[in-house]
Amino acid sequence: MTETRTIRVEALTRVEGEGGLHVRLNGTVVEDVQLSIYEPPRFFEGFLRGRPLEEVPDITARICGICPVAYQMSAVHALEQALGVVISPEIRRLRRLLYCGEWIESHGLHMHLLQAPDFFNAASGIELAARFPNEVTRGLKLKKQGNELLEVLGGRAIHPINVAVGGFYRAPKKDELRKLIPGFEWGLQAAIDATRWVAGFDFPDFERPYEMISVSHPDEYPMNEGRVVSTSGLSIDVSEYETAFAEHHVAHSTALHSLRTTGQTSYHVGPLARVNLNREKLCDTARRVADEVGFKSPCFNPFQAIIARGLEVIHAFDEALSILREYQPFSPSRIAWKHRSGEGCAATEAPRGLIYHRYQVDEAGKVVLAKIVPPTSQNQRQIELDLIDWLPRIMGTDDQKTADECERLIRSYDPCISCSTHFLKLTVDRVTASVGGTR
Amino acid sequence: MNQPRKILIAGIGSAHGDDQAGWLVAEHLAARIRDCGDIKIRKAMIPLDLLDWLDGVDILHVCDACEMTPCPEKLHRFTWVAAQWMKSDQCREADIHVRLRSPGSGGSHDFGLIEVLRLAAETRQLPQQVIIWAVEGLDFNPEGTISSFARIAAGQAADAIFNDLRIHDA
Repeated sequence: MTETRTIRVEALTRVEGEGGLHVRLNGTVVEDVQLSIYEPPRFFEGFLRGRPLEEVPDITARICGICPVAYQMSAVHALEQALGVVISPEIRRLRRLLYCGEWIESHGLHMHLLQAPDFFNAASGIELAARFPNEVTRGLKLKKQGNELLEVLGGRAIHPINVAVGGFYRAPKKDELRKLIPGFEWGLQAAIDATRWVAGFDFPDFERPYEMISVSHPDEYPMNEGRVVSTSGLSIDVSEYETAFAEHHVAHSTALHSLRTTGQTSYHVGPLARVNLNREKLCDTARRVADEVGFKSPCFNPFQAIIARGLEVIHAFDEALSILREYQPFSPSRIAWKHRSGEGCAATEAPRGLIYHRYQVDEAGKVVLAKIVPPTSQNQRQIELDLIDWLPRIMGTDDQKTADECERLIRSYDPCISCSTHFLKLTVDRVTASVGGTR
Repeated sequence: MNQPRKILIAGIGSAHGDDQAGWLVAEHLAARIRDCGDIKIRKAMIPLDLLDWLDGVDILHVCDACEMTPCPEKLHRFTWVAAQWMKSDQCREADIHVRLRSPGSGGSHDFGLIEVLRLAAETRQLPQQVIIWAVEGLDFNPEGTISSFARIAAGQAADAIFNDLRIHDA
């Protein structure tokens, strides 16, 4: 008799948001894996309709407390395209500085408190801190540097309030930014040390045939603009995004699944994709550290995304320092513009991966349509397929251990269920003809 | 001569109904205490914010909202002594622990206050004295106004902290 069993993870831990995982096994064959995002939909796209476009950056920031900048920036870029607004180079540099702050705080948190515990069988960042107090303290201080930058430039660390269509409500004073320099000089070296530390972890031998997608820019590491490219040769303008990618409803998740329109295939977004597709655009220091720790490109091992995050933190500190040192106050901090009807789209890079926004606005400045595709929606199907490959390698009779290993893989993506709606519980079905087991 | 002790008062809250209580305590105290180098008053949106502010702090007062408890007191005071929470009223510590508005399930969005303080302890950042003021609330509806019940309790918390500060000062 073939034994079928179901493993359930009722709530994934150390991921942003709430969701579950349901695995159905038939003997040793994985019959089904469902990443169940059961949080109610948040309807941001719906309630943006009819709102003044000036409110969009502040409303979209509320989608996520960890990566609000990416939502704000994607929104303002798309709206500026719709309005025909061209920002100044000074505003553009400050926006990249804001991105640096977000990447530093988000990656710093994930590397040290969320993913690193998995490599030491620690149940939490607190348990890891008891064993590696210096490393965890360093990680927390790295995160602090990012938060301080967001406070100065964004008005506050969480849900910044200084971002406007056309620029910033207020440009920082020179002294305000210069005060950050010593902390960022420390941060650059600390990021190098942190990356060396995580690169020494014991990684599972697990590679997947991903199509990796990211923004790519000819002159800089991708944050706020560029073409959408892939490891399979895709290279399109952002305006073509919706011809190459489409979202689909699945019954088991309140978050949409985004797939390639050609072949309905999954794809992978995030720091691993960015580094694989843009390694030569990393700063010299990050590239040198990548070489030193033996980080190969392309890398298709999802667990090694933690190294890619480290390299991006190095890059973010390096680029931020350059901007901080050269900063001169400028005016206007916000380019003037007038309401007009139009449509615009933008793709930027949130810490967790590519994010796409499209808006239509009317002549009165009201939002007519809003479309937002967060990174986790794009990675969801890929995570399920990874688990189908991963489960036979780690599956044992102990469902709890199996569940823990599944969570470990999922966490390597740093999924933000709050963004895609929310996240995670695991269930594993192990059922004989007469026995149904559910934890 | 003893060095003056650095004190941080952090009100944790959000814009959601009685969850504003922590912020209100911070606002009350900011209005009563002149800004000086030794006492900092800050409003936090999530407990994890605290970790950014602990450098050099000797005494930490944290004010946060909690859900209703069966106890008669609506303002609860706990201190951290030798890695243990000591209660100072009739309410069980565990009762408050589960009712604090940020109980912490392990996700990075909701590191609870207790988890953040334990993390601070493990990374040797926890001040010598930590006092938690838990203000009971009735209604935590998104974007809701704070109830008069929680508003009064927040005022009581501010008075109590102010008195504590005077004792330290003396």
